[in-house]
Amino acid sequence: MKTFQIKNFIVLSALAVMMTGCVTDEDLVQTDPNLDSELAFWKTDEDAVKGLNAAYSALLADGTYMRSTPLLLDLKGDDMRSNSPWVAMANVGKFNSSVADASIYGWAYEMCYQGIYRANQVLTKVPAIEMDAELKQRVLGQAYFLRGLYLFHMVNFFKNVPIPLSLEELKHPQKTEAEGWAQVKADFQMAADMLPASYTGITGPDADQKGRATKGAALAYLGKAQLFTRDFTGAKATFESVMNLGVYSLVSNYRDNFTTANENNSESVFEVQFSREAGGVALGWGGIPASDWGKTSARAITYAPRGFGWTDAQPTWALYNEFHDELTANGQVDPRLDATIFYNKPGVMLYGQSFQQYYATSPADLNDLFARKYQNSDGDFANEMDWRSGINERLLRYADVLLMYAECLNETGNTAGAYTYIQQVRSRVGLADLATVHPNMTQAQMRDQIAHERFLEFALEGHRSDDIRRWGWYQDPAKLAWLKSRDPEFNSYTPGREYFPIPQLEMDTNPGIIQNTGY
Amino acid sequence: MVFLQIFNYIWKCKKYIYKTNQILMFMMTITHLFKAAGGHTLKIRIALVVAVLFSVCTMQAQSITVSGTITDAADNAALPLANVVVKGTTKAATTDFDGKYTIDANQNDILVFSYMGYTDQEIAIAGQTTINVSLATNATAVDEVVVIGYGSQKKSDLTGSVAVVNVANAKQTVTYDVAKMLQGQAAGVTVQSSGEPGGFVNIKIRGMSSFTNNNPLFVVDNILVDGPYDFAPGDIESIQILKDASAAAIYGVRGANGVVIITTKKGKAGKVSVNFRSLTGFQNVRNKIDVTNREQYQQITNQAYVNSGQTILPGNDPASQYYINDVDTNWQDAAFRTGRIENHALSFTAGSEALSYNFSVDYFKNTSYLKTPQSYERYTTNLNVSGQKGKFKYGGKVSYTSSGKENFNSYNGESAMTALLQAIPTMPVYDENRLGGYGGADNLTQRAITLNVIGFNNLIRNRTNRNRFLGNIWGEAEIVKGLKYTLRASADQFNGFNRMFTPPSDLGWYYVTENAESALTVNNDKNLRTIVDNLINYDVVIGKHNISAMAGYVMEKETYYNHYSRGVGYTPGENDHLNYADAISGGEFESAVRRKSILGRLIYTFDDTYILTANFRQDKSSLFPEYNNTGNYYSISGAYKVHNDVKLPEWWNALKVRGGYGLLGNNTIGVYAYSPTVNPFASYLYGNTLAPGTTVTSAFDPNITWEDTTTANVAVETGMFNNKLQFTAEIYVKKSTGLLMGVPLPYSTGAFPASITTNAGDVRNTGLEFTVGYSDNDHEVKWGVNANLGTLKNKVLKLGDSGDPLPGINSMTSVGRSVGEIYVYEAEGIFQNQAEIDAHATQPLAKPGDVMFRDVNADGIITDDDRTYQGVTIPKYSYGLNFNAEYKNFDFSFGFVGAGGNKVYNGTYNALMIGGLLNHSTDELNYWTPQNTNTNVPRPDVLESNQNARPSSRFVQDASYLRLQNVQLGYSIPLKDTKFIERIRVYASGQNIFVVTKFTGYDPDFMSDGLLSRGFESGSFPNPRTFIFGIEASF
Repeated sequence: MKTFQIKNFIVLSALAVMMTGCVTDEDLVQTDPNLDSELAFWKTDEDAVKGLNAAYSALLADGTYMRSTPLLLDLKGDDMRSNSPWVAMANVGKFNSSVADASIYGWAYEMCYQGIYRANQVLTKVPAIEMDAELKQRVLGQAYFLRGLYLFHMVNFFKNVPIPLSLEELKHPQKTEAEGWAQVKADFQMAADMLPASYTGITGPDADQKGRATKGAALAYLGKAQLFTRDFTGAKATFESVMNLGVYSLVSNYRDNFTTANENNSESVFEVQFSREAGGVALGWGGIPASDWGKTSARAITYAPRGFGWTDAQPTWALYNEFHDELTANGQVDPRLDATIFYNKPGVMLYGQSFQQYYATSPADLNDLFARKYQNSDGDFANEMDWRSGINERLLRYADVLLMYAECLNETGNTAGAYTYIQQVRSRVGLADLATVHPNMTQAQMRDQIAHERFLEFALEGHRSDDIRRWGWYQDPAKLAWLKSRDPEFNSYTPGREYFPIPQLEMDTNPGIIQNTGY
Repeated sequence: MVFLQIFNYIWKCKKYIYKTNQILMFMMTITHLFKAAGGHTLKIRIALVVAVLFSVCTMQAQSITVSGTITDAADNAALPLANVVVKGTTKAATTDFDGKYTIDANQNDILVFSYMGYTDQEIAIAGQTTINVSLATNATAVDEVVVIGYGSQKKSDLTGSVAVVNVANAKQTVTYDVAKMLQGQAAGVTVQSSGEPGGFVNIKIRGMSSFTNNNPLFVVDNILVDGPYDFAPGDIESIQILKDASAAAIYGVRGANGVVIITTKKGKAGKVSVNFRSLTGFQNVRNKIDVTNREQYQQITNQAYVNSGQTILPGNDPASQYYINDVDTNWQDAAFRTGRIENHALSFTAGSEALSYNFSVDYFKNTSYLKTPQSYERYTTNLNVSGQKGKFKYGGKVSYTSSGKENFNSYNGESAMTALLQAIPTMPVYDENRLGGYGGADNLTQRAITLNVIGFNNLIRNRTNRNRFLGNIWGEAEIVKGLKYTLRASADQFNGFNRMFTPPSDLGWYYVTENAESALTVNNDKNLRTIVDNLINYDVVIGKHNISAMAGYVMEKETYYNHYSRGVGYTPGENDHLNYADAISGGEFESAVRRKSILGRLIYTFDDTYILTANFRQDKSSLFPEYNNTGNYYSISGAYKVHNDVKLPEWWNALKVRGGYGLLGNNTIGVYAYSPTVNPFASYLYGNTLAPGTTVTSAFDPNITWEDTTTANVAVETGMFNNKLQFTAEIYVKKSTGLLMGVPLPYSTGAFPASITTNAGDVRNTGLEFTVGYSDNDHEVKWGVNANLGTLKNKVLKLGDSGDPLPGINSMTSVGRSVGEIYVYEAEGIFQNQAEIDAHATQPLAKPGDVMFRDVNADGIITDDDRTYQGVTIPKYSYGLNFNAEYKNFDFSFGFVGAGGNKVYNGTYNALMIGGLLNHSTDELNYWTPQNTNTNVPRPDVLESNQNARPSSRFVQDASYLRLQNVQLGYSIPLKDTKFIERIRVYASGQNIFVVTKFTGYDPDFMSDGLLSRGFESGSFPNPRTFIFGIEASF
């Protein structure tokens, strides 16, 4: 009897468990509690601004301006060399990047396309958001600017590249270099049409924010793209409209362009924001963004003088020597030398120590050259060993606009007109009037003069390698021989290698893509 | 020595038991068991309490007591633990160690006497109070009962492919991991492992049927677990491996990779039995890899600088004041030492019919063969309880494991072994002038970015603790004759803890950890899985028809929670706790998975000759979107026992043919993999002010669904000469469709990671499996040999919609080939002069002495299109052979394992043949010079202008191997007085004694991703050679 009751009880309770169960059909639908669904995003003006900020943030990764992109731009010039033990890095300037090892150049490729993906999200999703029309226009204008900027880097580095303009497809076919530049210009033109000249005085969540892309930035980059594609007339007109905005002027102290002391200044047309104060302290090399990522650059530790960082990139003696070609009006050495290079000079201090004392026991270092631009070496820091530099990277300075404009004048037959704009840049550092020193130059002489001016003004700023290529020096035997005499890294140049190889993963996964010649 | 160990062990047990938090854990997990039953806690609790009470009150009935002795008919030896059952009831007794039994029964009952491997006997009591029985060995001695998932079956009745592992053989491999024990023990089972104490073991059953996860499902005492971690192998009583759909379909979506069913020891009614096992062993790396010493290193590196047109480094320049000639570190000598392995276990078995138990405690420790803190230590307790009262059976299991593992640390994911071999000889191991006391290299003089692995691993403290509770309770009631209902609630709770502290240190240039970089990360994980099984079984015999049916309803909940904290900024010597960090950050992550399934099985047997089995399971899972969340799986299989139908010759005892077909699933994808989410941490800044950024970073496929695997399997089993010779041959075809994988995407897509998880790809595995065994126990020398061989042919049938191949590391997976074939350039010699370079397809920057690569597509230039397939990385065959013999008090055994027909990419050798700044293989000494032209080693070039070390056929090697896995010699000490001590056996054994292979690395059995880059060896920790001394005693 007892047995029977117990048995029934057990069976009944078990059946109860079975019938109702502890997993219901509702339980079978689970949503991710850790991240918000995309379905709930892209609804408000706040979402639009956040989406745009994310597109900017791709500028801060290892592949972009945290480290790789400055190296890729700098090392191929005759102003810089690399003795890095990291073969992938050492080979950048030696025109010998390996297809099999996509370190550094492949990271730039990867990261710029992540930036394009984020910009495309804004361009695709924001138009449908109901929000303030002016803010929406600014958001979209900046997204066009950023897509143009990332794509500029891709075309510039890799020549024939995919051009993703939508979110629909996963694979985007390879396009020609000309198609690439056309898209870059179209994006910058859109941006220029939509953006304000300044964020000062506007109303909205972006009011007064330094570092956002402006009409001037879009126009300057449009002009640069026109110049790179040898549309001198178009570029000339575009640079004129930059100057006519009336918001830019050169800063009096040249070194203010390379330290934290005077960031986002009047000379800055567009700069990437870095800061030790904002964000966490983890190094945000790339990958899935995390809340503790810092917003700092690893450029300084990579370029730093021996003992203060890794010394992977160093100025060339050709650069050092060229600074001595012309003294200032007062008979001094060009002050840009000391702003650019550490060398054996009495009284020079680096990171609070005397250069000569620090390297006294190491003659090899004492008589070597080290990067000074963009280093935190003025005394506030003992070294760069924590990897975290807060110095903004100035991508485009007004000085560049002036010299590019001068080049347009020279190329469009107005060589005499170029003097004025070159001299603005020379005068800041006390160089004598060019019209007096070298009057009546021919167009060809003026080209060389502009090359010299740009070399010294923008040393270690990543412009030289672009200039060498767009001026056709690789195809000019005399110029190439001259470059080899200045920087032995050019000895291993082979045709086609002014561009980087397209990374192997892209080759392996994107059907029909063709590798750049020379690799 | 032995007593010391016993004492040591008891002391450790005490320490263990007194850890209050663990007792607390125990209590908590019991609670979870109840939670597992959802809102029905109360009812179940009442039911259990009643059940326990019920088991205590004794039912009285009119009866007599029968006793007697059961002996072996052959030699009259007593048979301990033989069974006596009152026919038609569940009343049973077991003989003691002298073969004696006592049982209460009614006068006119019939007693059934049985013993595994012997023929049953039925004897009517008819008033007798003493019945002595001698049992004869059964001709079909193989008829053991095997666990088949939600049930059990006689081995001879199996219709599916189930490998029954010889646990005694398997246990000769002393290891922390069950998976490692299975190496060479069953046909079609392949194992990849490394020598890292407590490291992960990669096990595959019948090839690669998934691109994401090929690890089989493990079922421990009816509890489904994903990994074989945290179990003491000593507790294992039996292991069955379900290999085809016929066997595994009952596990539905979890069955596609095969199922390993592990049963731990249960209590037996009878006198208390105590077993003690203890072993200690020593481990060494079997071989060293020849790398250059200081002078040789400097010679090659200097040549590399000269060849690239650069000035040689001061540290390597005899003319320089910085020349290093007083340091010559042999990093392997400096790092290797003798590692220790220890395992001590104690178990108690006792019980009555109403309640029997097996309780065991086990301690395992393994210290690394490297002079670093790396080690693995584990305490395990396991309690199995079961009992029976009338028509009600009940039982439960509680197991608790606590392990600690000091982890190896890698810099940027680089292997510690590769870094050790590449470490330059001019770097000292110790240097008291550097912070931390370990040596490093210098930027100016040595330039090499070279890691002091010994220093790195000694400075960083990286410990993982795992606490795991596994338990279940179950009850089974016979409702009417043959109809049984089983309710089982299981819980598997894992708590993980990792603490990693990187102090400020100076390990030379590039490996400087500034105070600001010094960091502590603390991770806490908790995973809880609860399963409720409801099963109904019905067994009925109608004449010659035997029907066994089962239906079930299973509900499963899994929740995961992680909390992490990170602190950065410590000064040297500062208290390393989180509170002392300059900046602290943290976060959490959680996930939940819910599943429910219905399942059923029907086994129909006619006349013990024809057997038909059908399995069905429907799974629903929250891992997939609602519209895709259901999968239906099934199998049908049959067997024909020829020997029961056809008169076979006298010597031919058994012949069985079986075959089956079925569909299985695989749901191994990440949680929430189908739902697109936004990342809110892609922030930027304006000025110095942070500006939050949100974006979609990854690509999602909203339509992902289950992987399906169909298997077809045909086998012949036979036994001859009194079943002394056993042979099984099997053929299978396993086809997997809609494989879930992270399909690599072009970087230009913009997604991170550059891949999308989607159902893309079909793969087929086919193979033959042979198992043969012979045993002879009739003579003074008893011996047996078992061998197995499995072949495997893997073929990719489909990849995505476009069929684009999938790149791996130096590998490519493409349609028509096997998964992960090596895909690299083909070296065809060394350029001897400029004329040869000019005549050859263009290799920009090539110079005499550089490697000539073959222009496969004959387009006149060497590009990535010239890479070719250079070998299958999945072994075409793998095998195992075990031999054991006994003579008087001695026993001897050995086991070989091997695999072959596969190629590997020797990444370690590649790393030592770069000819750059890091250390070199001694092969590099034979580098090309204008004077030394008869060589296949290119000129060293620090800039790698020709990329001589690019992935190429130079580093592809044959990975076939034969390993003497273990050899053991044991001696059972003759005892005069067996009243207290039953048995003592001592033994010595060796593991991984020698390997025959052409592979030049440490070990052809290495750890890899096991998937697309399966054949890529890159510094896996070599499996050590081990010598062990052990003792086993029973009381």
